[in-house]
Amino acid sequence: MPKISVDFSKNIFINCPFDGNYIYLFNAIVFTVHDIGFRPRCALEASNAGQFRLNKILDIISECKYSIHDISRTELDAITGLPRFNMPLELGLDLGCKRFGTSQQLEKVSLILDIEPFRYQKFISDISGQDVFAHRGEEKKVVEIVRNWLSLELDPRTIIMPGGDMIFQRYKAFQMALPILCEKLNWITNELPFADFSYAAATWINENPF
Amino acid sequence: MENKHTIYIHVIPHNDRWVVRGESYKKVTSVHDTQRTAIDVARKIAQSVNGELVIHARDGRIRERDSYSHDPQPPKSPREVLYPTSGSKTSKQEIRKAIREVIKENKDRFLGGS
Repeated sequence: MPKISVDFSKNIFINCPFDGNYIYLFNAIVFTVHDIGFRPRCALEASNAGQFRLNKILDIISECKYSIHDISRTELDAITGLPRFNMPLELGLDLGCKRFGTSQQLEKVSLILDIEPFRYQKFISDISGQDVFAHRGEEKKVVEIVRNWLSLELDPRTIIMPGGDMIFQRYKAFQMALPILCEKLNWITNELPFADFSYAAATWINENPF
Repeated sequence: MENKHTIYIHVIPHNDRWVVRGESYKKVTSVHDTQRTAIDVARKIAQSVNGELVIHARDGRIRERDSYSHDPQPPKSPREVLYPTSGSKTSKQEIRKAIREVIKENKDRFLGGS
């Protein structure tokens, strides 16, 4: 069994599509997680040599108290005519870790995102009772959902926490800065690896306290 | 200042209804059909005893707190920014330097210069 991370209560596993049609929402989630003071983790992290993808995902799940699962990608693949099951699979692994894991992992908390409210009841009704929210494919909405969900986990008497609107404005500012930053670093803006985007977002946030 | 423990007044879901209960009380103070009325009652009690209102969500987790205590509140601090576990191929110093340059050069264009 993987060792529990010392940052367990600050790590957030993000389980979502990683293709070009979703990247705008993924980046918004990563930025929001950083801006609230948590650490985003996902399957795109650099892997150890020879580590199977599923093992890597299981390790990350075991090291994260929080998880964000986007199950909005239910469309059938245009070529195969089949749906992609990776997101529901990883949601199930995460719920299983909470149910059967260590005493620390029993504290795991999950947020489930879909594109429309209540749509999940038609294709994955067993998750009823979990926190399921609809982002409608909008960056601003997903920022607000993630911010409000995480705000329940912080003590407002001791932590200064920006509102959803402020985080979204800060994210838009970061998006404006990103192409200029990429030019300076010889990065390709539309092909940024997760590690580069995440590190740049965290650094930008650190240099821009609200 | 008198040194006494804070009294916590909770609003808790119970069988599709909402109950108001003090933390040290054995019985519930009142039962309500809506969370709103439960919060209103609990808030008045918390204010009258200089205690703290603790509102729970449907899943039992704490959703919100409001303190009416005279006790001094701990100072608020900004959250710590946490960096990713997997490193970028570009050095941290190089990224930081570039971001500072971008902020400096574009301080009027976006929040970076504020």
